[in-house]
Amino acid sequence: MFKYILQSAGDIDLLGLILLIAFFVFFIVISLFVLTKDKKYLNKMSNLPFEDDKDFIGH
Amino acid sequence: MAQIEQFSYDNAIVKKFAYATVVFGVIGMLVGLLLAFQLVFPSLSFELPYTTFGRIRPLHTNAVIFAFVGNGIFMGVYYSLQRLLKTRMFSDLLSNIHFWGWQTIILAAAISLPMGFTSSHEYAELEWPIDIAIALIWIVFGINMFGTILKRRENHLYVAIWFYIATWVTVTVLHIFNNLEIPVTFTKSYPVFAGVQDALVQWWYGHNAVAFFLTTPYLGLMYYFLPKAANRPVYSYRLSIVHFWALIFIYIWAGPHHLLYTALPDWAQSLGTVFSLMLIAPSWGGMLNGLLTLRGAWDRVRNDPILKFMVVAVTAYGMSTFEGPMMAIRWVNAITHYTDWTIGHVHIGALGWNGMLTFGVLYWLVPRIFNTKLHSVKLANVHFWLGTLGIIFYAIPMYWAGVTQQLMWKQFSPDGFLVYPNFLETVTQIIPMYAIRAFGGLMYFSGLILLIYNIVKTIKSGELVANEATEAPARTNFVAQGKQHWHRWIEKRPIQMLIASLILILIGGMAEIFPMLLIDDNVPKISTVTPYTPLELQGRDIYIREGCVGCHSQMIRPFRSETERYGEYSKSGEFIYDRPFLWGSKRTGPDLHRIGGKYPDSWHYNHMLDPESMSPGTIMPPFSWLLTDDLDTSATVAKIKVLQKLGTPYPEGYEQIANEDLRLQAKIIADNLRKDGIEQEGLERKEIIALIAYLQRLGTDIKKLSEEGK
Repeated sequence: MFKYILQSAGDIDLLGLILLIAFFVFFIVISLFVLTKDKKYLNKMSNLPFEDDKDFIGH
Repeated sequence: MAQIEQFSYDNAIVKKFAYATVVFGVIGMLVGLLLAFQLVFPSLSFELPYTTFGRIRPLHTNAVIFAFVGNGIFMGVYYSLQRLLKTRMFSDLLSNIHFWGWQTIILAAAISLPMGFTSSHEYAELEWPIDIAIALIWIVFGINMFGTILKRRENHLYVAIWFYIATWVTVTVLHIFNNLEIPVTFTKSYPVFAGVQDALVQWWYGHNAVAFFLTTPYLGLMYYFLPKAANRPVYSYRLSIVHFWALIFIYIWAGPHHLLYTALPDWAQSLGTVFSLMLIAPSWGGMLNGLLTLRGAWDRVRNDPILKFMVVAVTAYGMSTFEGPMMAIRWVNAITHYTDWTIGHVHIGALGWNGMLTFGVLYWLVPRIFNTKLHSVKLANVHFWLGTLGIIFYAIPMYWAGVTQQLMWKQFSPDGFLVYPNFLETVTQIIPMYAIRAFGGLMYFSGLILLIYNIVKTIKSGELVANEATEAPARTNFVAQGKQHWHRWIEKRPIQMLIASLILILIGGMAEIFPMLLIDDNVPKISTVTPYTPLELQGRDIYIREGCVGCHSQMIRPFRSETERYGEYSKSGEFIYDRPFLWGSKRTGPDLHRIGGKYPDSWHYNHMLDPESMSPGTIMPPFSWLLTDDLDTSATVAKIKVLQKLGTPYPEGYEQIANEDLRLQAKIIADNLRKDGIEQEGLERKEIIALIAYLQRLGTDIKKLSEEGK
């Protein structure tokens, strides 16, 4: 079934292939970048919306 | 040690945008209701030019997108940006110019659209003077937003802010390129691009208006208001980084999925399909991040209507971002294109994602800036159910109608004939579905009325904290010590973010649009296609003014069911002088690309005067003013000159004799009408003559090829 879907996408040609690969590489790079970010930093960022809470207890 | 600074958040501007959001929610949805009921009771066009479906459809779309959602975006951005950056907005003056400027633009739209001043580009219908105003106010917003970011006390930019930055820069690019037009008069312009190129630029814009006006800013709002309402941080900050970059890169390419099986070159269509499918991943990244933020807290969702609104909103976002890519697959699109399924899909996103999230934010935010509690949690719950059920009663009839109609269009008898050769039969079948949809819209709207009552009572019980006093440490400039360069990189982030987003979103647009503009082969020329005559041009502009493109397409797809019904399928070379393109997105009425020569002139005359006389049972409203109003030929010269400048090969100096040719052609048509018994004073001068000339020209150029061969 998946072959059918891809076939019906039509004539992708070289440009499409290059872009698909480029995007995939970009995606891998971003994922690696993100996976190497330190936990404390990520925790701080996720809690930014709460820093102005006067009665915020903290997570 | 950084010094603690005292300052205040501006809530007055948030209040203004909140009020505007609600007011225009009412207006935009009322127009929508009128449209929905017009399809069931055609007399609701009141036989006036200002209230026909074709003219008020863009009023509805512009009102709900730019007035309702637009003000909702600004309400949410002005509230969250200040608090995330621990600073007041850069300039109170700019905040107010932004607010009043935006509402003035909405007023201009409300006046100009029913008057028929339209470019016909979907969600960019507003004519050139208003386009300039939009650009100016958008720049004001940008300066205010970036000024705030640059003067921030909080160094780090929370993910919501990236979405706001990407929104701002992309909407700027989209607005500029889809509104490249040359003015002809104060209220009329011609786009720089024609035919296929115009179609591609329009749908690059159209889909990205969805992406960067309806999606990314609201994802930003979700990333702030959902954690706030749930009092828990977002599920995965890592995921938010990844899906943000993926989303803004991939989304731009999806535009051609609006043009599948049309005269757009195959490679462009395919890119649209493939990238639309890839888009499921980052979109669902956002949805999952939102829903999983509530993991373990579902008991709170049961008791808190605000969380309920947000859950339905995020779920609807997930639904429509799955449905959309499915509809971008060619063989699914063959069933859904031109039908009500598209409208069903739109409204899952619009009513579900945008609407419900706006309501959730309003219920959360208004009590806080008025320093009080929500008047009635119970009423908010009732609103929630009305909204959710309203969406269901809206969408399901649309799916039913869409599939029913397309299958009827495609049905052949065993002998190879169309089972439903009369288009009208396929419309009459689905009117009960239109009635149910109107009921669904009514339900959804009644929920909004409950919101207004609830919010007004809430406001009355409290008092606006116009300037919310707060304090925060001043931003420190980091001294070189170990982690130095990492911090400095973050400090420069807003500008880098802006530039990186800009580059990413430009790639898709350039890759798809440049080849269309530069490579001639993409639009094979047809020798017998010539420019419209002056009379036909005037008729075309009347067609645009009346919004005919809202119900009638001009793009016959290469399916046997379409060639049997309408004639030869549409070729890209036929549209090279079409400014703007008029391929259309919906067939409430039949495709008109090869209507030329199908009916006598008098048929069109009678059809415009009273559609029921030529098509009994039709839902098309009458256009009787076309028969009584004189054609305004004062702009003919300007029109020809602008088109010449844009490359249409009218002979040099032709504009001097254009009106003469116009009158000669008008006389021929008027004589034809008289031969069929139509008597009218000053017939030659009426607008109907121009419209007939245009309609009779449609699709006839390629027939001259076969005549040449004889």
